[in-house]
Amino acid sequence: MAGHRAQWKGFLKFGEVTAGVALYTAASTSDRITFNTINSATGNRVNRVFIDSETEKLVPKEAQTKGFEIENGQYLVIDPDEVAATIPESDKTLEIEAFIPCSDVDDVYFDKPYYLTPDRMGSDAFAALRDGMRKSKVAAIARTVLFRRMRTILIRPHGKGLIATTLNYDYEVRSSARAFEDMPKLEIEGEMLDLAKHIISTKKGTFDPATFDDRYEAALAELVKAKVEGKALPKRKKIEVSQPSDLLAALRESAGLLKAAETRPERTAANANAGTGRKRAARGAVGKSAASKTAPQRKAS
Amino acid sequence: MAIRPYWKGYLKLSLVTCPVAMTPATSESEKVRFHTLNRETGNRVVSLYIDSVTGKPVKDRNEAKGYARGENDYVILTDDDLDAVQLDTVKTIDIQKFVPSQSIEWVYLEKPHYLVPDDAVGHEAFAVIRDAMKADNVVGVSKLVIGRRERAVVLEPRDNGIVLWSLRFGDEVRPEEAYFEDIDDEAEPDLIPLV
Repeated sequence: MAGHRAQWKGFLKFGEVTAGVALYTAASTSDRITFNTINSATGNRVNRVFIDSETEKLVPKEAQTKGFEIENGQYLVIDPDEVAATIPESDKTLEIEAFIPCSDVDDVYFDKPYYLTPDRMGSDAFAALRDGMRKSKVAAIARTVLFRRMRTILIRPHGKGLIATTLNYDYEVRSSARAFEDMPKLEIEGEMLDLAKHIISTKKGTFDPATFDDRYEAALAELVKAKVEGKALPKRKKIEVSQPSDLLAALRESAGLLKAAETRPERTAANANAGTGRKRAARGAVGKSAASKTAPQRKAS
Repeated sequence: MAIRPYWKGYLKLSLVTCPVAMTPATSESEKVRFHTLNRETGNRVVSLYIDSVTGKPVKDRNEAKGYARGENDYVILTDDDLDAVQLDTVKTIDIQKFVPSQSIEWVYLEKPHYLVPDDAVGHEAFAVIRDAMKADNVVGVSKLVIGRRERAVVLEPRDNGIVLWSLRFGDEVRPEEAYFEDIDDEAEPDLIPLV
């Protein structure tokens, strides 16, 4: 594992079994396009400086310190040593407190993933725990002090290893119940649901995020080129929203269009991939009803 | 308190389109917030932009985004310009594919957002897309420009709404083989605990 530095080393404890383990960052953030801040009056770049909010004089780096607001305009200066003293003691142990079924995991709490690996001595116990969890389709919950904070961690099998994901605190996650509370309770059934399911069945596949390409940079370069050449930037096309009264027709038409596309020869390979008997049967049934209802309508339009 | 949506656009499945609003599902707003202070006066320190050539302070309204074309040569881009980028994924989440739920590796999940209809006109269309995914136990895969990157996104139906996950890029996830190569493929059967 040369070249990779462990972010954390400690022990994974499960009942009476303890294994030495290490955590490695599993994901990093790659760069996005950054812009420079420009003074539009002169076209020059700007520099950022720090000034005192009252005296408006420059404050050099060495005169800057940290504090937090206790009341309006009153600040408490924090000494770095005091901050260190408030960090909870770490016993360097990830003790598994509970196992939960993978399907019960609320992924909205996921923060950052780490690869969890055993040291030489701990590898038997590590592999045994990993295979036990995989067999039972469960994830483990553990708590420990990580990077100076008490963190709750979700551990689950991943390939030959384990992934430990730090979980966000409750106060860092907005409640989905509240985010969705203004939605009227609508349950879709009958033909609309069947049509939508049919559309979905024609778009089923697999997806590997690793193969995905970002087209933004190229599109931005085109935009800059047009602007430099003094061309008018094309306006975005107005997007037509489906009206509730036309929704059923739009679904029927979508299902009909997709059906037409499906009959092209290249469909066979895709279909062979997707095909379970059950799915085919469902598609056939829906397809028939959709086709009989759509056909006259399409002719009319 | 209503949370201001940070993106508004459209959700599209084939010929069905509805207006939607998106808010991040996570926030750091309640963490203890530290401010930078001037040690000598105890006052807050604020940042100020000064022109790199004239040395004069720059007014807020003159702060602009510049795309570096060459050394000291910038093309200024307004928000309207940026909105004109020729990618439909700036404004529309067009669901192109559906995959079994749980089939996207967790390590790719970057940031969760809540997606809701933005207008009563779209309530039913939104519900159709949501309920059909639920009924089929699938999640939708699409693309969306978030923070000047076009990202793959996954849409999971949840209760009355949809959770939209932005996904990490392939080069943001470190190759696991490098970390896991020394671990045994299979455990001793006798050692496997009952969990």
